Order: sequence, then structure tokens, then C-alpha cells
Amino acid sequence: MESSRSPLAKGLLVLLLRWLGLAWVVGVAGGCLVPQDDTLLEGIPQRRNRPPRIVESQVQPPEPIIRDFGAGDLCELDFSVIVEDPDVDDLVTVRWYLDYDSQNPTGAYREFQLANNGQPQRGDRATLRINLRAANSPLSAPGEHLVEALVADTRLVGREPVPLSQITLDGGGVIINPGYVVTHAWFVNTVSGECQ
Amino acid sequence: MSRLRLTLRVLLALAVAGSGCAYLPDDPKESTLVCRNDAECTEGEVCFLDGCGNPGQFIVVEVTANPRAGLHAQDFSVENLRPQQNLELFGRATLQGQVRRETLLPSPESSTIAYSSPVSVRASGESLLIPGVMRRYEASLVPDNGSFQLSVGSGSYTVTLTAEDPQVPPVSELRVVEPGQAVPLQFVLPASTAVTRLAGKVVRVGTTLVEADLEVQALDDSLRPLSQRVPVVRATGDFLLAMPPSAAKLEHVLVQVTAPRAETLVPQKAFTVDPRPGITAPLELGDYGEPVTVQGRVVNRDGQPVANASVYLQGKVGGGGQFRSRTATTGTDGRFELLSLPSHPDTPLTLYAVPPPGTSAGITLQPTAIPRGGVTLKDIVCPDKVVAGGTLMRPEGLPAAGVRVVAEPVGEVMGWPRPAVGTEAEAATDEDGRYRLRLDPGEYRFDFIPAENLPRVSRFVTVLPSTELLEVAPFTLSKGRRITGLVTLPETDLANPTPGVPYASIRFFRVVNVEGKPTAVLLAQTVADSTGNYAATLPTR
Repeated sequence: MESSRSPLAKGLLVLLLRWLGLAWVVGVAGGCLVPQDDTLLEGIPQRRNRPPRIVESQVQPPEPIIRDFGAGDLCELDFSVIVEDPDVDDLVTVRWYLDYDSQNPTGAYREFQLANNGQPQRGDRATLRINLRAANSPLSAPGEHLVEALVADTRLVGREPVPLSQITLDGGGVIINPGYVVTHAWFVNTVSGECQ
Repeated sequence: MSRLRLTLRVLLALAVAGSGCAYLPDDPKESTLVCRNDAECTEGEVCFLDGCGNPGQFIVVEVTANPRAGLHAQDFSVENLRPQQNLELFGRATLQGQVRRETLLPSPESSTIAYSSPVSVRASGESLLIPGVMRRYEASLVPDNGSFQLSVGSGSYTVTLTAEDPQVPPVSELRVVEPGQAVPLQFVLPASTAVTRLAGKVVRVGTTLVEADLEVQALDDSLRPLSQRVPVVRATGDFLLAMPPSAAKLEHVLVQVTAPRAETLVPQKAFTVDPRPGITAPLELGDYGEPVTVQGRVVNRDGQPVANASVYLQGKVGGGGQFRSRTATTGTDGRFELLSLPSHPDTPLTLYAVPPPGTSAGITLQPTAIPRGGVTLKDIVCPDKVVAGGTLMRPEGLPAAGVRVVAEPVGEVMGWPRPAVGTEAEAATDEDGRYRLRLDPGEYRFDFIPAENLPRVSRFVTVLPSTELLEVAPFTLSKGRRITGLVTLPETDLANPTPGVPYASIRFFRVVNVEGKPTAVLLAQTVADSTGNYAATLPTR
């Protein structure tokens, strides 16, 4: 039996099939026809927080034990820390605790916010000046004292860092983006003298 | 080659030293001493706290490379501050100490021998170029055949060596240390036979001993220590002080009796003693009574209780000694209870009530007689703190919002104690540039710290008790100029692959005379990055 189609129609059909075949090959190769992952990102994933650090080489006073505070003309001491935080936008605070007793916790003696300068190394620094001639100087009682600097890049509850955020996954899992606290401490021995 | 390098270094050190000595101007002659903003100054000048001045002049930079590695602060005056200001440091500055002790029998070769027992060395003093910047370095060490080395910053120091042996009197020397300098220092400890010994006994009254641990120390008229601080034997009250041989020629020395622990309710008392015959009679602390309970309540002007206020008593007690009680803290009802000694019959003690910084109630001092049976005091009324406020403007004349304001106490006013702790305004400046702080009377340095890239500004403010509201004159922030540079050391550190000094601390000061007194004002502070490069923002027009 002879086909009733004309040679022109046959030619057009072959051409169409060739184009369809070519389109199929291109589509498969290009991934258009391959099922896509339908998970959509709602935003740029949050970067995991990185901890700040106290630049140990620049801690003042450099020695961890200070003897005879109050003897002779040693009536004033400056305690200071310099902080580096790779997350330049973090709000970095320094809390100073004096003679902290975990059994009888009291608040920080003083708190500083370190100015944000857009650099990991904060140019601003937290300096605590203790003068024994001042009224109610916190280290004036003779004996041993503990001076602590707590550097945090998050809110603190007591002295414990609060996570910056937490993400609940589809499966119910939770990813916690932690906040951090780093500390440095000095021991100070105050003696009775002429400062008070 | 090395000699040439050494000569160059010496010349450079001399140049730095010379510029430092000739640095302080007598008076900012052509400057206006009072200004509120840069526009009031002539072209190119900036309104500083001492008046209008050239922002590139009178700058001293302090660079602290790495204290942990012994590279302490070095100060340099900068004649003409450039946008790219590299800071080339000197190496480590050290005190090269020798400790020798006189021998009992002078030998033909030497009358001293190396002292190699444990000692502590303390250098305390001030920067040579930045007035008011105090420096202190100390170490406990064992001299190696009498030699030791102590790394220090540049400055002028009193260096005191105290042997661990309490029967060796402390010795002191004065030294000036320039950046990178190794300064020789020799201490000669007296032979044990040459030491002036002062033996004595501390009693309460008559033969009654003090039932507490005590310490004694001999001081000269200038309150410099002549002896170490030694314990009193509790069972007998005896003590033995060792002073330098020269003390034997003094007409009198002060013997100070103190309690080493805060919980000891014993007064501190100083006795004038003639060391030539020695102490003939026991040192009597006197009848200072027995500890008594003092109760009371701290309230504000409206009669409301002040919680978390610190309360203590201080002053003269029976027997003439000075006493300070431990500090009690008020509860939420404002009540407190503390142990004290009774006051001297003729002189009441002073009660200090110090409310916490965040409250409106201010510090109060009141004379308080403490009878021997204890007392419950009438309500202690705290006055309100002085409210200090002002307005801050941006360089272009608009109100400066979002500026942090911190008041740091720098001194006291007549009749009031120096405030202990600085205060930050509860909020940064508002949209009108207004700020407000509650402060106790005292002298303060107000630091204004803009959030954006403008330089910090400081002003000195005296808060007097007679005022309730203190309006600080409004002033305008300066524009900032960025200074960058590299901090380097003369010798590269093999452990550090970069040429710069990582994490060096850099502070820029303006040093001028304010009311005839050399004064340093911090203009900017920054920290070098891990490659030693730094950037800071300083005031400009």
C-alpha cells in the first residue's frame, strides 16, 4: 500500500521529528526535564557565630598576680583588655566582676560596650580604674581579691551566654547558633597603707 | 657596619629624647582658651578642651607592642602627623640589674658578693612624655649570680627591690628609661650586721595583747618604706624590723601597725619612734573597745529606701588609731547592719552611704557617734545626684544623635570623696543631641564616643555639690581624619612572618598645659591588625 502523504509532508514530518529529538537531547542534557529540588532558600543562610578573644599579649597589667596594692604610692591600678572578634558587627561587651562569688552572685561592677570600628580588632578597650582613695573603692579591704573581665558577644544571663539564635529544621532538629564568653582574671592582694 | 648602625641608633634615641624634653609648650599663646566649636578657631585649628589648636601639633603617640613578650609602652612625640604615619619602634627597654650584698668581712677583692636569693622588683613611675599616664612593672625572680633583667616601658621610675628574706631592708633607686634603652641598675644590700634593727612589742593596753594577726612596717617622713612589712608574733606581740644602716641616724621613724585581713576589727595606728635607743616601751593601740553592731536604713530625699547602697564607717577610734569597717550592702528595704568599733569619745566616725550608680540618690557622708553598746541610727538621707546634661552638635551644625557619653572620675572636690566608678549615660545622645548623666560631686572627664567614624572628644567637668542641675556648655564634634600606618620593630621576629607588629596597642594623646598644668587628653586609640597595620581617626578641620 502506498502512502497517501505527499513528499513535502513527509519532509516536514522528518524535520519536525529531528527538531523534537534535538530539543529532547538538549533538554535532558541541560537539566530542564530532570526533576528539580523544590526546596527554596528564603534568604542567605545565617553565618555561624564565631567567638571573640581577648588579645592575651595586650592584657594590662600583664602579670596575673598583683601584690601589695596599697603599699607605698601604689594607690591606683588600671585593668584593661583588648578584644578581637572576627564578626565585626557583633555587639561586644566587657563586664568587670570583682570578688564574684557563685554562691552569692552579684551583678557586674561595671560594663563597657566596645565601639564598633568595622575591624576585627576593636580599637576601643575596656579599662577599669581602681583607686583606693575613692569612696567605697571595691578593692580597699585588705586581703585577696579577684578581678575578672568577661567578654561576651551576646546577651548574658548571670554570667552565662544566651544563644544568638536557633533554627528548627523540617525534621524537628534544632541548630543553635551559640553566643560566647571569654574571661581573664587577676588576683590582687591589697594591704593597709596610706592610700585610704 | 654594626658600629655605624649603633651610632645611628644612639643618634636617633638622642633625637627622640631631645624632642621629648623640649616638647611641652609653656602656654598655647595664640590659641583661644575657651571655644565651643571649630568654627570659633582660626583656619586649620580645632577646638580642643584647652582651646583652639593645630590638630597636627602636640601629638604624642604611645605604642605598646607586646607586654607579654616584654615589649612595653614606648612614647614618641610626632611633630607633623601625616595621613600615612608608620611607627618604627625601638627594641625592648630593660633595667639591667645587679644585686650585691655587703660582706661581713671585707675581702681584698671586693666588699660585696652577688645576691642570688629570691627578690621582687617593682618599677613604678610615669611616662616621660604623657603626663598622668602611670606605669608599673614588677617581677618576682631569683638573680642569676646577682644579675637580673626587668623589661619596662619608657618612663621615669622608682625601682624598689624587696628580698624575700624579711630581715633584708628594701632598697630603691630612681631611673629614667628611654625607648629601647638598657639601663644599668645596682642595688647593694647591707650586710646583716650593718642592718639597723628595731625590736618592739605591740599591745592593746598595758600587758594585754591584741587577739588578731597584725603587721608592722617602718616608714620615713615621706612615708617611704624603711623596712619590709613583717608579722607580729601573735602569742607575744613581738616584732623585729630591719632597716638600712642610715636609719640609725634618723631622729625618728614611723612604725605603722596594720591588720592584714579585712575581717579583723582592729584600728591602724602609726607610732613615732626614735630608732637610736630603739623602742623602749610597748606600742599601745589603746582602748579601742569591742566590736558593736550598727544598724540603720538608707533612704532618698523622698524617704524611699535605697537598695544595694554600700555603707561603711571610717575614722578615729579610742586609743587614737584609724579604723574602717567592712562594707555592708543595704537590702531592698534600705536596711543595713555592720560591725564597727565605737567612735573616739571626742570625734565621731564618718558614715559613708554610697548608692549604686544607676539610682538618683547620691553619696552622703555624715558624722556618726558610735557608742560602746552599739546603735540603731536614724534614717540616713541621701541627696539626689547632680544631673549633668548638655548638647552635642555634629561638625556640620546638626544635633549629634547616638553618641555615647561616659564620665570618668579624675579627682575630688573639697569636702567630698573621689567617686570610685565611672558612669555611662543611660542612653546615647537623643535626636536633639542631648545627653544626661547623674553624678556624685567630683572632677570628671567626659568622653564622647560617636558611633560613626568621627573622632572621640573629651572635656573636663567639675560637678559641685551645691548644684542640682549642671548644664555643660554645648559644643561641636570635630571632623575626623584617618591616619593609617604600619608598626614595625628594628629586628624582625622569626616567629612572625610579617614585617609589622601584630596587635600593637596605639594611643594618640594631645599634650598641652591646661591651667598651667601639663595635661594629656586621649584623642584616639586603636589596635594594629595581625599584620601590624593600624588605622585611627583623629580630629581635623
